Amino acid sequence: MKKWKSFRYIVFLCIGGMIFSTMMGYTSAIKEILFPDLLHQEKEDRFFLEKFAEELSANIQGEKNRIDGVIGIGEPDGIGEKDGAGETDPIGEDIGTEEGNDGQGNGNSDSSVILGEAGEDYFDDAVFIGDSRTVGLYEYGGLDSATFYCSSGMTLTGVFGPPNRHFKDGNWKENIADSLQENSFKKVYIMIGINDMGTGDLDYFTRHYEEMISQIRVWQPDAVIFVQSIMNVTEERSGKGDYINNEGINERNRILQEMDNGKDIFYLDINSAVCDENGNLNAEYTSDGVHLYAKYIYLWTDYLKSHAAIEK
Amino acid sequence: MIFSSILFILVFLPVFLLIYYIVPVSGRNVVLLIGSLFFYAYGEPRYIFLLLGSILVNYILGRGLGSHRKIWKLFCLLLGVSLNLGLLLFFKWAPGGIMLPLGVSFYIFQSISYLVDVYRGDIASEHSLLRLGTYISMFPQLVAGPIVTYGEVEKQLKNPKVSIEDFDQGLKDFTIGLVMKVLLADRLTLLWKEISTIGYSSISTPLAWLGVISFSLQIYFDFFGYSMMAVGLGRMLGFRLPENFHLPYMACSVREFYRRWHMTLGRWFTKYVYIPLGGSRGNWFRTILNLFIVWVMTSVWHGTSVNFFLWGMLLFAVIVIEKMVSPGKKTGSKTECKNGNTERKNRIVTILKHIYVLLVIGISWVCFAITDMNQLMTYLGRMFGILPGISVNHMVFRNACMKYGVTILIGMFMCTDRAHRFYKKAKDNWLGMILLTALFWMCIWYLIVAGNNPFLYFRF
Repeated sequence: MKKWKSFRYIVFLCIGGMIFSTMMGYTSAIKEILFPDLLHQEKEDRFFLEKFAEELSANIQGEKNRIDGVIGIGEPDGIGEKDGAGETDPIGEDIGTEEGNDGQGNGNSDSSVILGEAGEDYFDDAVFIGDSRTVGLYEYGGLDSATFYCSSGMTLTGVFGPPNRHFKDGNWKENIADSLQENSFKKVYIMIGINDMGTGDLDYFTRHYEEMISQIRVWQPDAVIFVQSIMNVTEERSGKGDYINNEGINERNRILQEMDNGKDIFYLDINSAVCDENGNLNAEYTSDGVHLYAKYIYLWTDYLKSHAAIEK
Repeated sequence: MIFSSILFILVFLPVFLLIYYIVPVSGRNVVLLIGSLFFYAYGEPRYIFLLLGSILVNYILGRGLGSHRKIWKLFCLLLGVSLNLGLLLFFKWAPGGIMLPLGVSFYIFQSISYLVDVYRGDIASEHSLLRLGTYISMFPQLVAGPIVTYGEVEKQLKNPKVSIEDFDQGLKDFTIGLVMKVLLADRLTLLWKEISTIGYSSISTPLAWLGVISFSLQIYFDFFGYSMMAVGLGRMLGFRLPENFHLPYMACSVREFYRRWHMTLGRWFTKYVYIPLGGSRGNWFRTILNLFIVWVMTSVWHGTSVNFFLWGMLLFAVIVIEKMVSPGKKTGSKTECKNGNTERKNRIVTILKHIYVLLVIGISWVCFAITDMNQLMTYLGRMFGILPGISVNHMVFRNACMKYGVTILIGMFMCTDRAHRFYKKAKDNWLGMILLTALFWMCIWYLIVAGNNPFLYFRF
C-alpha cells in the first residue's frame, strides 16, 4: 500500500522534464541532444540578422563594395587589383618595429597616419573588442585608460549582441552595439575569431568579419581600426584534433591581412611577438596553450605600443 | 561514457534500466555485464580486451584458490597478486605515450581483494564466470569506484531482485551526486583553470588562498559526487555499494580525515597491506614503517610524478606526528572532535583542531594538484607571500569572489553534518523532492550549455 510513495520522485522528474523541454523549446531540446553545435550557430545568426538587418543594408552597402574590392571577392586571383589601396607592401615603413614583413601597407600617399611609437595618452581614446584573450589584456596589460568590450567566449556573430551567456568580463554589461554608438573612440582594436572556428567556413568568416568592420566604421567614423591577427595556439593545442588549430588560424589571418588598407584599417601581426620560429604560440608563455600567462602579456602591449597610429 | 553526461543520463540509463527491470531475475546479470562492457567500450574501446582478459585470469586463479592444497593455494595467490599489481605498475610507469586504461586502478584493486578474500576463506571461490565478471565490471563502480569487496555484492548477484523502493532511493542519491558534481565541482573547476591560466607567479596571495579553498571543495564534490552517483546507480539495481566519504572536512585530525576520505581505498590498504604487515601492534619503529609503506603505495596509486610522492609523504609525516602527540586510543568513538562536551576550553580546542586539519589538508591538495615542482613551489610561495608576484592584478581576487563566492559558500555548507541530515530528511518529503527535481533539470541544462568536465580521478 505504501509503495506508491516511492513513485513520487520519478513522476516529479518526468513532469520536470516536460516543463524543461517546453522552456528550451521542444524541438531545440531534441536538436540540442543530437546536434549541439548547430543550435548555437542558428541562434546567434538569427539574433544578429534580426536586430541589424535594416540598419546594415543601407549603411554598409558602400563599405562592402570598398572592402570587396580590396579582397577581391568574386575575383579569386585578383587580390588588390581594383585600386591600389590594399596593396601589401612587404616592408612597411613602421618606426620602431624589428620585424620586416608584417603586411603593413603604406603605398597610398594620401595617408596621414602611419604606425610608430605610442605617446603617453595614446590609449585614452582606444577601445579593445575581443574574446578571452582580450580579457587577459584587460586584466594584465596595464592599459588602464583604455576601454575594453570583451568577454570569454565572444564570437564574430555574437559580438554586438547581449553579453555572452556565461561570463561578463571587462567593464561593460550592455550590448556592445549600444556602447559603440554612445561613445566615441579614435582607435578600435579587434581580436576575434577563434571561438568561431567550429562554425562555418572561410567565406562565412570573411563575410561576418567584413560586416562587423563595416558596422564599426559606421558607428566610429573617425577611428583607426586595428585588425589584430588571431593569436596562434601552441603546437600541442593545435594538434588536439578539434577545430582549433594553427592551419585554420593562419588561413583566417591571411584574410585579415588583406583588410589592411594603409589608411584607416591596419593589420597588426601580434603573433610575431608571441610565437616561436614555427609559427606556434611559444609553449613557455602559456599554461593551456591558448591564453598568455599574466607575466607575458607585456609582449602584446609592447607590440601595440610600437605599432601605434600616429600622424605623419 | 561518464555519469555526468546527457548521453548517459537521458539515453543509456533509461534504456538500460528498462531492459534490466523487464528481464527475469535469471537474465539480469547477463544484462548488467553486457551493459557494463558496452558502457566501458564506449569510452575506452582499446582496453576492453584488457578488462575481459583480467576477468578471465582472475576467475581461473580464483578457482585455483578453491582447492584444498595449501601450496597450490599460495601459488595461485602470489601469481594473482603479482599479475594484477604488475599490470597496474606497468601502466603507472609506462612512458608518456601510453595512457592509463580507464578504471584500471579500481578494477585491479577489486580483483586483488577478491583473490585475497577467497584465499583467507572469507568468501567461497566463485564458480560462475558470469557472476565474477559482473562483479568486476558492473558499470556503477567500474570506472571510479567505490572499491567493492565481493562479499558486499555476492548475495545480490546470486539473486538480483529489484524493488521500487531501491529504484526511488537510488535515483535520489544519483541526483544529489549529480548536483554536487555538476553544480559545485564543475563550476569550481573554472576558478582553478582561471588561476592556472593567469600563471601562479601572477596571482595575489588572497587569490592563492581562494584557489586552495576552491580546489579543496572541487576535488571533494567531484569525487564525492561521482561516488554518490555510483552508490545511487547500484541501489537502483538492487546493490548496496559501500560509501566512500563521510563528511571528511569535519574531521579533527588528519588521521581521522583519511578515515573519512575515499574510505574504500583506505579500507583496502588497511585490510590487505597495513594489518597483514602488523598494523600498529608491533613496536614504534615497525608501526612507522608500516605506515610509510602504506603511504608510499597510496601516493603511487594516485600517480607516479614527484608531486604525488610529496603529497603522500607530507600526510605520512603529519600522521606520524599526530600519533606521537596523541597515540591512537581505540575508544570506539568515530571522531576526535569533542562534540558533545560543552566546556568552553574543549570547544576552543575543537575549533582549533578543525582549523589545523583544514590548513594541512588544503596545503596537501596544492601538492596534489600541481604536477610540476617549480610551479608548485611558486604557488606555495605566493600563498605565504615568500615569492614576489609578477604582474599581479588585485582586482582579479575581487572578481573571483563575486563570481564564485556563492558557490564556495554553498559548497562549504554542504560539507557539514547539518547539510547531510537535511538531505536525508528532505529527499522523502514533497518539498524536498520538488527541490531535487529542479536541481536535476538545472544540472541537465548546465550540461547541455557548458559541456562536460572530465572527472578528476579518471586517470588514476
